[in-house]
Amino acid sequence: MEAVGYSLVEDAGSETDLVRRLQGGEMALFEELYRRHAARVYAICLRMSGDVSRARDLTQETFLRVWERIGSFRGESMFSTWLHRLTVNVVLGDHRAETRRPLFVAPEDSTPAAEPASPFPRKPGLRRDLERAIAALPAEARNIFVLHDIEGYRHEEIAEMTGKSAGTSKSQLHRARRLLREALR
Amino acid sequence: MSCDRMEERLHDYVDGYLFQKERLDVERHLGECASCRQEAEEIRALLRSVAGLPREILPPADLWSVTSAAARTSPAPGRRGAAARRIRPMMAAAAAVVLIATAAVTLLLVRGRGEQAPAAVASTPREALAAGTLMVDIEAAEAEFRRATAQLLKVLERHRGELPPGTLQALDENLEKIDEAIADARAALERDPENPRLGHLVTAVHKRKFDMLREAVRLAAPL
Repeated sequence: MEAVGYSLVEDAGSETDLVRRLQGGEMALFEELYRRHAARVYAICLRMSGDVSRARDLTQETFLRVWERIGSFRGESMFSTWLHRLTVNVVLGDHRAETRRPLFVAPEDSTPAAEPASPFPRKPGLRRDLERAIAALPAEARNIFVLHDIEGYRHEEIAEMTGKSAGTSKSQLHRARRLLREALR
Repeated sequence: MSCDRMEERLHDYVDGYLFQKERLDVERHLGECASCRQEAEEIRALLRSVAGLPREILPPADLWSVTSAAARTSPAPGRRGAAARRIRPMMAAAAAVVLIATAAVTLLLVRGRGEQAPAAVASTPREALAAGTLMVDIEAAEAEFRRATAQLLKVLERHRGELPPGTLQALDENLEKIDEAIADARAALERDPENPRLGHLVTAVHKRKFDMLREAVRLAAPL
């Protein structure tokens, strides 16, 4: 996946090679790693925080943690799995630290990275309404909704990440879906 | 099974969490209850919409430079020191103020064309920009740029020794010229304070200074 549509390092090779070389000290490849993954990380941060400014800080924090901890990645899962889990932990840690509730206004340039830059998404009304409705959810319900319905985590995994029960995850998910359906009617 | 007990089951059913017997129970109920059938279909429709959302959203273009500047203050991965922890929020603040300043420039351009501000501009800290005169807006943008460049200069100061003497000299000379250009543009704007082109010129020169410093930081301490 090329997050920004180009590769800075011609011979960076596969993800495994890239991570191995980073762990070996070739820190110049950090930018390549960022280019490949920034759009996914930012999407998670933006949707979970519901706030553009927080998403910037959280994305930056996530990559700084990657910088610090790349040596601890043991290759037992895919690197992207490790990174996305790290991202979620950063966001949830921030959420625990302070409760924020500004309204996310979908940015004009938030097109999928795989597509050429376009001033508007393909279905601006549907997508923007949905993004706004997600951003307007109560924070806990929004986090669970994003983790389950967008990022594909199961309730047991979410319970582990949030420190709450799977039952709480379910009830928050159902609440989020109900609120979204009401908001989109 | 009554409808009262169905809501939670319907979500589990749609999500595929139910064992076979429970699933069959729900399907039997759906065969008899139009209201619950509609409920299940609405949940499915929502999930179809969600599945169409992009998995990737491009971050702001300047985020890499801010992130790398913060990372490069670390002596090595895994050993990030207290100095880095002090500088990181500073770099984030630099990026934030540049965003505000950039929003000001955008607003000026929009106003210059006599158009209404688009939603993207409205999502920036517009309180600082709203309802002001051109000069007030420019001064606010300039203040933000000054804060941002001051922070970059602090980072650069720590790494000056890593730039070749010739590069340092060129950098200092260019900074001096840009400062002169800012002063000239500022003087012109003061003579013609309602001219949006001059306002744009002032902020554009500030932006050039910021870009040059950012590049210098990148060169001084490449990752």
